[in-house]
Amino acid sequence: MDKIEFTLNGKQVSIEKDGTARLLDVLREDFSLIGVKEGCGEGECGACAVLIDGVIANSCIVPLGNAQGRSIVTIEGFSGTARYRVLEESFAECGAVQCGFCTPGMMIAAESLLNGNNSPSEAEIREGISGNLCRCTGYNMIAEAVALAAEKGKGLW
Amino acid sequence: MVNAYPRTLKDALTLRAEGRRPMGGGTDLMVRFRSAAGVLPRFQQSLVFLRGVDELKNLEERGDLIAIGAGVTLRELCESPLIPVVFKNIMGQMASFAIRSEATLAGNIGNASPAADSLPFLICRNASLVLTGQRGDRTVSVADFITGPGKTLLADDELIREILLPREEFTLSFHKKVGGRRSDAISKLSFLGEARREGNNLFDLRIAFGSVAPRIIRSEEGEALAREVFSRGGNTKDIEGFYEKLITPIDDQRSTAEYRKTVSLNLLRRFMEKLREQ
Ligand SMILES: Cc1cc2nc3c(=O)[nH]c(=O)nc-3n(C[C@H](O)[C@H](O)[C@H](O)COP(=O)(O)OP(=O)(O)OC[C@H]3O[C@@H](n4cnc5c(N)ncnc54)[C@H](O)[C@@H]3O)c2cc1C
Ligand code: FES
Ligand code: FES
Repeated sequence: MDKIEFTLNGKQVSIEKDGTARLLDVLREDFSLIGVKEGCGEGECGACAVLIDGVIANSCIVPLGNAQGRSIVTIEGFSGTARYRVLEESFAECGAVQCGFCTPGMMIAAESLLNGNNSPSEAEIREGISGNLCRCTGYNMIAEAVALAAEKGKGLW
Repeated sequence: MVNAYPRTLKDALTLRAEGRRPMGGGTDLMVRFRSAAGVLPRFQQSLVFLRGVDELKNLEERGDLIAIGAGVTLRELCESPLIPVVFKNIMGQMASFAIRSEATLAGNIGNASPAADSLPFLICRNASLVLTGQRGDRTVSVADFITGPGKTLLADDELIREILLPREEFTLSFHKKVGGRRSDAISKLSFLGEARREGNNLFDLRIAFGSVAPRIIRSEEGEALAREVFSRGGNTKDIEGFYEKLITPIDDQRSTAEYRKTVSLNLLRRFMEKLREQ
């Protein structure tokens, strides 16, 4: 057993578990953070996306050992923020949520993008969410929602 | 044996020599050894996690070289002013932001896939690797390091310590990756041609093909021929004929051999046209 310590949604945590465990499983099973979804399990769909030190990563292919000493934020942690509320409103307004399975990952992708670039062009938005698959919306509404959030959330990012 | 989380390179080397496999960002390893949801990946070996080793995170100019530590991620490289634009564009087409934030360049090389997208560039630029082990360091070119699909010269006690990229200027860099869906696509094929032309003088010309043979294709003979054809204003068919023999792709679920060969040769022709237009 390896002892791994990191910050999870702002709290210092410690877990004894094999360091090759998928961060996704640790978050869902050991910490009951089920907003983190499993889609492909191979890094291709972004359903499992989390922020690591403020930047998007796919938790299905991050070994727990690589979380050591870092700050992990899941959709649950992010949902307490003002930025989240702007994204939530914008997603609702643009009809960017249908079944909702991709939504936590999309919001994490949007946050990671806006964090680095608070007024992205449409092309930059599409690039920013290009690692996240959505089987329902056809992406246009999601891209619009991110653009709207950038507009509405001026000063937050 | 248990997994290990060293903080210094010295410890990392000791732990490596005990028989542990290096873990970088894990974006290749975690997929390769994946099992079911909630079940540990099926690693055959314990791992030495390199992420905590600060000595591997260097990224700096060193004389005529750019030194890239093995712990540097693709994202960090894309954001660095030291990295040539053509290489940033190549890395920008590797996977997605969510992968590039964890994946390292050393891991892309260590994985030694014929489809690894950094390799045509690194081999075109004569990049080398500093391998470090208990008996000291040695420097090996990237071209020599990769001996076949998944096969490298890395010894059981060694780690890639850094990648050394010569600083060079080209007047033309023509790169194309042909894949599937833009950001998660593994290359069906890729092409890189670079040249330095001033007026009618062609000072340098390099050509590399990825994903179309067990190793990246780069040939001195082919490049000499291409320079010669360029100088006498000859037909590019001769060069295509030469490279056609080297291009030995496989049929797999990503593409067919015929398609790979045809598109590769089209890109070569396009590169020669661009060079003439310059
Ligand atoms: C969805 C998805 C899309 C992808 N798209 C692309 C793509 O478009 N193009 C592409 O080229 N690749 C792609 N990849 C593959 C992968 O992301 C890259 O190869 C990446 O650069 C690997 O780096 P890593 O640090 O994650 O490697 P790891 O998985 O940690 O390691 C890979 C290999 O290198 C070895 N290694 C790591 N560090 C060292 C070291 N310091 N010394 C010696 N050996 C070492 C490991 O033991 C292992 O054998 C993709 C992967 C996924 C999951
Ligand atoms: S479940 Fe992680 S990227 Fe699809
Ligand atoms: S809303 Fe259903 S997958 Fe995106």
